[in-house]
Amino acid sequence: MRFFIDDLPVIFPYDYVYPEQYQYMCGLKKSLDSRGHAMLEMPSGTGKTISLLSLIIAYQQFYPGRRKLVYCSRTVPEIDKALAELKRLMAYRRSQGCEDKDFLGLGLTSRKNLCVHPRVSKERKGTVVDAKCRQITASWVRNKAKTEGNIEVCDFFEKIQTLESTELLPSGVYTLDDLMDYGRTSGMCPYYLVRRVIPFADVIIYSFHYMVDPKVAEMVSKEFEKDSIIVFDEAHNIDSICIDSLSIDLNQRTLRASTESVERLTERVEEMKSQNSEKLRNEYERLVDGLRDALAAREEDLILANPILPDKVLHEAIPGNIRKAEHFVRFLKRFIEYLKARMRVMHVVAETTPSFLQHIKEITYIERKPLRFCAERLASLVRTLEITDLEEYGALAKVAAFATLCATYDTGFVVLFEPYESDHSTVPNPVLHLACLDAAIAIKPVFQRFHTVIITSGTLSPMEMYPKMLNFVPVVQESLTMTLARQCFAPLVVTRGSDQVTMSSKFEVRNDPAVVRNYGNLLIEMARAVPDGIVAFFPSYLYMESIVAMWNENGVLKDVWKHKLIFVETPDAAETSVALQNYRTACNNGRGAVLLSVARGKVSEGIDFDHNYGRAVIMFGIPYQYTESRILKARLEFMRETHQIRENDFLTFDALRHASQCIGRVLRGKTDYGLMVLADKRYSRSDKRSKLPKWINTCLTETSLNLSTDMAVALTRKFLNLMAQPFDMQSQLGVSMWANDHIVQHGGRGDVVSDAVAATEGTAGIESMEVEEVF
Amino acid sequence: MLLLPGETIKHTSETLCNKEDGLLHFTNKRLAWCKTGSQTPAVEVLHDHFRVQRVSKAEAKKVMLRVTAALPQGAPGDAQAEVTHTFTWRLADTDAAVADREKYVAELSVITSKRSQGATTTPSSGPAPTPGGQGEAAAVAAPAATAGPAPGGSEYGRVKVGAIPASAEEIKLRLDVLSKNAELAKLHKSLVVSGLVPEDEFWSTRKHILEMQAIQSQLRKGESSTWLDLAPTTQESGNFKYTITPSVARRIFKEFPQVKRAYIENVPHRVSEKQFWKSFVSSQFFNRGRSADAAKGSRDTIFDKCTQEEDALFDNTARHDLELLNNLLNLTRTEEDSVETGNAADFTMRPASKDSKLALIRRFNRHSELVLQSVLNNKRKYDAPGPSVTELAIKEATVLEDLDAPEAEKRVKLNIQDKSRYFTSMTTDANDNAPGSDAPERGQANASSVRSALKISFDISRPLASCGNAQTTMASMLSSAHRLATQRRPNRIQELHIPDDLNRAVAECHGAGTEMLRHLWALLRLPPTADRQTKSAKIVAAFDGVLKRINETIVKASTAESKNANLGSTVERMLQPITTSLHTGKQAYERRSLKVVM
Repeated sequence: MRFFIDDLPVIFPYDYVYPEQYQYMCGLKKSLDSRGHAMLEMPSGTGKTISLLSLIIAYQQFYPGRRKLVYCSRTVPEIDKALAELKRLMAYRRSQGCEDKDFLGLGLTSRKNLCVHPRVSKERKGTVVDAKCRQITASWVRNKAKTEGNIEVCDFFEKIQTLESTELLPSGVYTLDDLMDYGRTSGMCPYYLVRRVIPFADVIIYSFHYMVDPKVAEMVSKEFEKDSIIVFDEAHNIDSICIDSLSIDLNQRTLRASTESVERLTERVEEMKSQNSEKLRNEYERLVDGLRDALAAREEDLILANPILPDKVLHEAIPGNIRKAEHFVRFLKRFIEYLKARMRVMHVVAETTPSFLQHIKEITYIERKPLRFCAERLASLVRTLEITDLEEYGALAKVAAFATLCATYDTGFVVLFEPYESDHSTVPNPVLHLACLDAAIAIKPVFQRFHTVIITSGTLSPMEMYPKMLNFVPVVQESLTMTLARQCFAPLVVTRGSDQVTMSSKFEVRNDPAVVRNYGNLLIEMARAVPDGIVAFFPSYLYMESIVAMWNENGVLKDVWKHKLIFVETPDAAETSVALQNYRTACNNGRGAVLLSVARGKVSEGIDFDHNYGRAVIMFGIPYQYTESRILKARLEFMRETHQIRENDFLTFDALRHASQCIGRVLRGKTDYGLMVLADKRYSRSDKRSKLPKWINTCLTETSLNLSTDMAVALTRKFLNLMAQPFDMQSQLGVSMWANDHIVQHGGRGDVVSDAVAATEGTAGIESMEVEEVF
Repeated sequence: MLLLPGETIKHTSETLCNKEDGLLHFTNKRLAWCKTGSQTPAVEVLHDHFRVQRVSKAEAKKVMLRVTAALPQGAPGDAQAEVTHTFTWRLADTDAAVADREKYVAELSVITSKRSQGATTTPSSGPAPTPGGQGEAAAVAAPAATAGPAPGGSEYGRVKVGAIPASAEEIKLRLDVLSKNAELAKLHKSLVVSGLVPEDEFWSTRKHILEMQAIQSQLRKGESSTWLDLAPTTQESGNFKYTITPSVARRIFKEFPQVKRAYIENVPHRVSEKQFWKSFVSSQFFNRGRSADAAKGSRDTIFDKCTQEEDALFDNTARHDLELLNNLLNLTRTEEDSVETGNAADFTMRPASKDSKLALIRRFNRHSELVLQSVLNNKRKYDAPGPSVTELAIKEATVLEDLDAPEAEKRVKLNIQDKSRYFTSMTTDANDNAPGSDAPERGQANASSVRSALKISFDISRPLASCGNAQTTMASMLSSAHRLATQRRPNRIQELHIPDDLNRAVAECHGAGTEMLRHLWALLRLPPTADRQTKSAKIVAAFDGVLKRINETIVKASTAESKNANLGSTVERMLQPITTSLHTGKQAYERRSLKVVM
């Protein structure tokens, strides 16, 4: 269908549109027009991605400037899906007469996922693939190969080097699979191909890290134009991702490995010195000039700033005491020895970065300034020494990044030393954490550089939290509810078992036999009443393990086995993937299955349980973080002091966003239906409920709020019975689904031009004049 | 046993008859049973007199065969002139007994099938089952079957339905259908058994039912998903006792191939079987995943090795062929998408590495996988891979179907096998709601029930609340319509005072007539061939039988005693439609045959 939002013609690849999709697009348009940031919450499963793409592509193609869309997603399957939707949208637009000349849409993921090299692609670990790839694609290897024979280079990579960027890839939309197919047939490396053509692409879809993680963003994202549109989809977790990208753990293994790396570096430096000291001398001279180029680029506003490389650093030359390669290696060695000494302490130490640096200075006479350049200097040295197997230097790079981050930021970080893994363990396993506490640091360059950053998800409530944590001002902030012709999801809060004993995952009672039994009975009853698939989430891995073991012993699982097969998430991704696949097979062939998984685990992020894959989702308990964690405590304190967010507010917010994320996964589309069971006494309290997304919260009524297991089962049966009745889709029309007429009724502009093809050609001139007025 | 001249014994079995021990013989002339020690048969059924055989249910404890035979002087089809004998097998092993009995069943089937081949035109002599149990034994009737032991369910797949004469498999199918579908069985009884329609004709228009049954009978029950749970029984002394039967052992072997290997390696040359299982239940391997430390089990070289092997199996992630995975479910792709960063997860989110709970979880996954694979074709371990499948999966995961204008749905007709029961359940509902003299009160009761139903639906479907509960609304509307109808028109059927037997006779006449017409019209619609011509001629000839029956019924009605004085004419009027239809059919046939002749 085709309709107008203000003067913008939107081509939407369906016959109807959900009202919330329309409103969502209106909100988006507003923020694009005003060139400001936006936060939009839209119920899960109502076609957020397609609305987003439809509007932004329409915007991009209609108005001058052709603003590039950078779409960041959470997981690779979500990238797949977004690309597939984009492809479908573009095909639909073509069928509606839009030319979209030279349109290029691409996805990017790691080498591991894109490699087509017959040998390298067989490796199972991503880091190994990266290392092997560098071994055959690094510039010095290729130079050497030109002069000497029998040095392997990657033909797929070489092919790319022979071509101009513009002739690498015909226009169109390429999913990751398409890219690999194209790479195979044309003999080009898909990974480097994408890296090369990114500047010309209209739409780029990749994961958060490529934008937020400074190490990666430096490589792929720094040259985007200022008016690019940045979208973070499923961004409810974005603060954790920001924090993770700047946090580093060092343990004894890392330090041992880095010592070895330093030894190797020393050898290499000696070797190179004896053979050919010119390269080292060149490097030295380059370093005297400092990072002037980077500074120039940044000042001219060409690149995305890098939080690891703050402006201050760029103004200075690399300090003299680490300019020489052998000096720097020795410097590193000293620093690592210092860290090793710190590891021998047997008590917990938490300190700010300035105090950590002060201590270093006292003990080792290492100044702050050279430490700040550590990461950059190491990267330069590795390049100079022509080291290919970066895999082996991973640990050392980590240490260098640790040093740089410590020396760069006075606030927003904490250095935390823990000799034991947990309070109960007796075997020391010392870890030195550098924990970033301020999510705003990593994302600051993004907000600063780009006019429009859109943060969207199915669960962003309470919305006032994000602008505080990420330190930005949204111009549009909306939370949409779900319009429904029939109530296709039923949130039930189960607070007690049939025996009236309260159910809760509160730490004090969670292992109480009565609670365990009641949770078990709830699972049994649900397995009995609900057809096909049931997904159950637990607050933590530890709790899931222990409750599964207890259920196994007290016979709960025996009853569940009678009704359904049981699959459980494990720490191993491959193993879990296979379990998931089997789970789906069981749902499809009528066996029915229960999937037990963890609320913050891999399954809860990005796997859909729509239709028969999830007729009910049970959230056992509230997925609070482990509150005794010292890092969490430090972060809570930081947030209380700088953002005035109370500890409890944040913890509840964090727990409930994960819970609602879990339960939101059962729905896709309005013909789908599913139960959402929240099994904890505390969900019935209004402070918890109010933090659920609006679209779920409005469906929680008094009667579904304080249920015992038997009441919940009765409601479940009733609900399923109701949902099993034939549903006339036409009854949705006008209520939860709009055709063009309904858009007009609601004050919008439907497709007034009956001949869509004529519109693109004939009215283009007039419309672009209108645009000029807008700006 | 004393043999008749030219008689040879084919089978002999020890059976009980009339609670007495004896021997059952099947010869080329008769079925005979002699009391133990006696030489003269106490029961004797000549092949010509044999009518119907019935066997006990497959799962029944006793293995029985019931044979109905015509008395030598009795007229065929006359129930009074029949005699029934029941033989119970004495073999303790049920399977063996069933196998033995099958021989008799097969032989007797040969007799009936021979006879039915020669007698399709005189259907009254055709054998037919009379389902509906009398006594514990009767369950399935076996009117005809060719020689050879009855085939297993799986062979139905090859049955060519519709052959004449019917193959043994088809006959078995027919029986299965009849035993499952009470309504059809009733029709069959009234039409075929009473001789109105020949057996093969009856089925010729119902091939689809047989084919469906053939498919259904091929479905096998999948493996039970129950978890192998060896629960000990506590003895008086306080000791635990585990019982391991061969079937339990088989399951253990299947679940834990490591144990099977250990068993093969160690039993019996190293340890005795008993010792093996004893150490099994006390081993750490068996007790993995128990939370209580006391129940951790003891160390044992045999089973420690099993533990290691199991761990090795589980830890070997390469065993999963990720190529076969649906891309959307492959979590490793996300894991490999970016470099590892951030602080490690706190210990609550990490698997307990030393604990055995992980092993338990992995066992669950493995068990579920095993159960699934037993159903699936082994080659197709996961959903078949390939780009098209991934594309399909992505499409499935992204397209919102309801946003597209709906296409005409392909609907499957609801197939209710026993309609009478369906309508009974409806009528009980109706009776509950049936209006009495207290109609206004009922209306109020209705209103409150409507409201109470609505109240619950409020909870769960609020936006719908304004529409009310559609079901209740419909029900109340229906009942008021019903009420109006009954007020205007009293319940005639009851007022007519038709005796039950007459009612049944009328229904039979209708059934038979409809069935005949069904066949006739089916044939007439097709282009005429000689074969079809003779067939329709046969059917039209059979019309006379039905018409005769109708006349008989009317005569019977007019002579019967009843409160209703005009019973005869009433029944006549009731039967008028079918009579007219039969005549129409006949005329159509005659016109057709004239055309063919011309």
